[in-house]
This record gives sequence, structure tokens and C-alpha cells, in this order.
Amino acid sequence: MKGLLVKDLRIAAEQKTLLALMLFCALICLFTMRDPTFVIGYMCLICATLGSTTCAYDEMNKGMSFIMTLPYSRKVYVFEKYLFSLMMGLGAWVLSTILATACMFILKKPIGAEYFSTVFMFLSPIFLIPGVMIPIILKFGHARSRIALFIIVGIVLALGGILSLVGSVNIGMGNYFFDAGEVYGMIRVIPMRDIAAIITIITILFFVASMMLSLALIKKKEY
Amino acid sequence: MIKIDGLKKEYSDFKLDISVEFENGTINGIVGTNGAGKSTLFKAILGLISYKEGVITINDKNVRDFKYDDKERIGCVMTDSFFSETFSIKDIAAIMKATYKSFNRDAFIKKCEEHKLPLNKKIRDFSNGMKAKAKVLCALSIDTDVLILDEPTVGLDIIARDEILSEIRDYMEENENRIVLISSHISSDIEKLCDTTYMINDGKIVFHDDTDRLLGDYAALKVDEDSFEKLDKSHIMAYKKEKYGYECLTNEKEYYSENYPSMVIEKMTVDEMMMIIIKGEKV
Repeated sequence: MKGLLVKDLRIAAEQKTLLALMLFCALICLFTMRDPTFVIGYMCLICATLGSTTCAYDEMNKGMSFIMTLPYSRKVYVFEKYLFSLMMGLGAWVLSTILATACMFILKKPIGAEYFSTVFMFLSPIFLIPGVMIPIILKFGHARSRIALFIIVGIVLALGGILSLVGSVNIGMGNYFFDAGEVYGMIRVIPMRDIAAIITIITILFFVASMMLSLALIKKKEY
Repeated sequence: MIKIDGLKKEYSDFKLDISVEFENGTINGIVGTNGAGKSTLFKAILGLISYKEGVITINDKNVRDFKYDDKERIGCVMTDSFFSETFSIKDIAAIMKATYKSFNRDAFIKKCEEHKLPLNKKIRDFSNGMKAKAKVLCALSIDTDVLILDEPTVGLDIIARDEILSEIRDYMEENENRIVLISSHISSDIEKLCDTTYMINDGKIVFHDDTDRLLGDYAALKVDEDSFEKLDKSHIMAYKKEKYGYECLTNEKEYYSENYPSMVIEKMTVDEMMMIIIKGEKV
């Protein structure tokens, strides 16, 4: 796997100007925005996409055919993509958390359980973004992956819309459908710390399921 | 030894059906028209495509069971595929060093310098010839048992082609048990380099022979229609109608030069042989 990691790190190094710009923007946001935790989300979101960026680079100039002739199995290729995405995302999370916490100290803002719950909430996109992007790119290729992503997001939003409509209308079927207001009330009483833990566990499970899906997709592919 | 037994791969408009053995210590040339099945054969050996029928073994091990240590002993050059073109030669050296235990970084860098390939320039800024050289030199810097070269000299001028063929020959001399499979549209490459030449057409190997024999014993007989009718066709492989009569491919040049002293007998290139076999009629 070492060779694949070196390859992807070199691809990430190609983005050094963009990453430096991201860091510059993050530093400005830290001291100009009221909420320093924004920077954690901002940096995690950008760095979590680096894994899918490397998929696009692998695909360029029909590169996948050659990469698949390297002595690694397809399984190792997939695992490396997820590992690399996590490394980049967690790296950004650690760095941004240090920056945000330092800023909180400087600005003399309270650092309590709620702050750390928010910080841990930002672990979710680190798992969620590669979990969504990698199988889509492996299935549709980089060029078509954006269209596929929009369609998937559209389907999720439509389902959410239908669900909320059903909840708000609650057309005399209270026993069969949930009441959105009631659900919101239930969620509101759950402590932030527990919500963060639940979301993190769900996203980790999603991440593992996505990895299994990617493995099934790449095994069927011909290069 | 590479043994391909009853390999069948079907696409909507093409079917590959091949059984062949490539012995250790040989350089094998694969020739054929575009879409004949050369790259599909290579992809099957490299595990890039699936196939429902057939078995491919390398040194008695099924390629489907290959692990890292087995795959590390196979090197390849693909016609139109390589690392991302945003990489430089130095990037590629670092990746290869981390990938292959046997990759000789210093030798690779030295060879690149000898062939005037800039080490820090991105591959996308290379000429086609430089890209082709980089791919071949990269593959030749690993210690392999099997080297698969799909059109390695494409885009190279005649001098660069000669240099690359010489590198492949030197590589073979380092370990005489190696097997090299090379496809090329340039028949002179095959004639200069290969021990055996295989011709693929429509997914099948239509003929193969030692390259020395191809160049020594094979010839074109040019005869008019009357002479063609009377000709002993026992050593004629294929013939093609021409304006003057028939052009016949024989694998026993001596037989015809002794028995038909007035007959026009001409040497042929592998390309010319391929033309008669593919476009002509079989006897």
C-alpha cells in the first residue's frame, strides 16, 4: 500500500497552493468570525475531498489501467483511498482544532463540553465525504460523478421533503406516520454530546458500508 | 512459462479465443491489425479484464491467484496509460521505489539522464517520444520474470526506437529466463528483437514461427495465372490475387527456388506476410 500512499501524497502536494490559500483563509476567519469552530468544518470539508481528488488524477489519461498493473490488489487500492481520505481529513481536523482552541483561548471564550461536542461533530464530514464520493467516482468515473452526485443529492432532498411534508400535514394518520414536531421535541432534549456521538457512529457505519460497496464495484470493473 | 489455455473473452462485436505457450528465455512479438486482440490478450494476462473461460498460468501459477509477491515479478508498458501526467520523473521514481522492492532508483534516474529526459519536468510537458521512453525505462528498472510491452515504441523516431530496443535486449541479457511479450505495429521492431512472432487476427492466433525462420525461409512467390494452376501448393500458406496473377506466401523458399528456378521469389517483411494471411485465401 506504501506505493499508493506515496502516489496520493504527491498528488495532494500538487494542491499545495490551494491548501496554503485554504489555511490563509482559515486564519483570517478564525479572528474575524464570532465562531472559531467554523474553521474546523471549513478545513475538514476541503481536506476530506482530497481522496476523491486523487481518484480523478488516477483516472486521467486512462491511468487506471496502468495503476491496476501495479502489484497491489483491487482491495488494497480501495482501502488505500479510504485510508488516505481519513488521513487527510483527520490531519485537517487536528490542525484546525488546535487553531480554533488557541483562538478560543486568545479571545477568552469559554471552552466547555458544548465546544468539544461541536468539535467532534466535525468528524462526521471526514467519514461522510469520501464515503459518498469514492463509490460514485469508481462507478461513474470522475466526469460523470458530478452529475451522479447531483442526482443522488436530489433524491435525498426529495425524500427528506416528502418525509417532512408527511410529518407536517399529518393527514389524520398520526398513528401510522411520525409527527415532525414531536420528533423535533424528542431530539431537543437529547444532550448535544449524545447527538454528536450518535452522528459519529452512524457516519462511521456509513463509511464502512461505502468501503464494502466500493470494493464490490471495483471487483466488477474492467480496465 | 506463460501458458494460456482456452482463453475466451467476448465483447458485443469481438471474441478472443486463444491458447498459446510462451517459453522462458524468449522474446515474443505479437503482431496484428488494430482491434485484432493484442491488447485484450495482454490485459487478460495482467488481470485487467475478466474472462469466463480459460486459464492463464505463469510459472504454473494461475494469474487469478496472484498475490503481491507474484505481481511484483511482472512489469508492463501500456500504450496509452501511465501514471498521472502531473508527475515528474522524480515523483515516478519515488512511487516505484515505494511499490517495487526490486526497483532500482539510481539505475532508472541514470537511464533517464542518458536518454535526456528532464527529471523535474512534468510528464504532460514531455513530447510523445519522451513519454514512451519514460514508460519503457520505468518498466525496465524492475527485476521481473515477465515483461509485457504493448506498443512500447509508438511515437518514437527511428533513433529513439533503436535505443529502446537495445535497452530491452540488454534487459533480457541480464536474466535469460525472462519472458518478454511485445506488440508493435512496426514490423522491423519485431524482426530485430523477437525470437518468435505470433500473428493475431480477429481474436485468434492465425500463425506463429521463429522470427529467424520467417526472415530466412518465408518468401513471396509472384506467379501468373497459368503458373499458379500448375504450382505445387504443398508449401503455400496463403495467396492473394494481384493484377499480374497471384502472390503466394511460402514457408519453404528453398523448395521453390530449386524446383521453379525461373519463378520470381522475393523476401518479405512481417507486415507483408500479415497482409497475405489476413487478406488472402488459405490453400
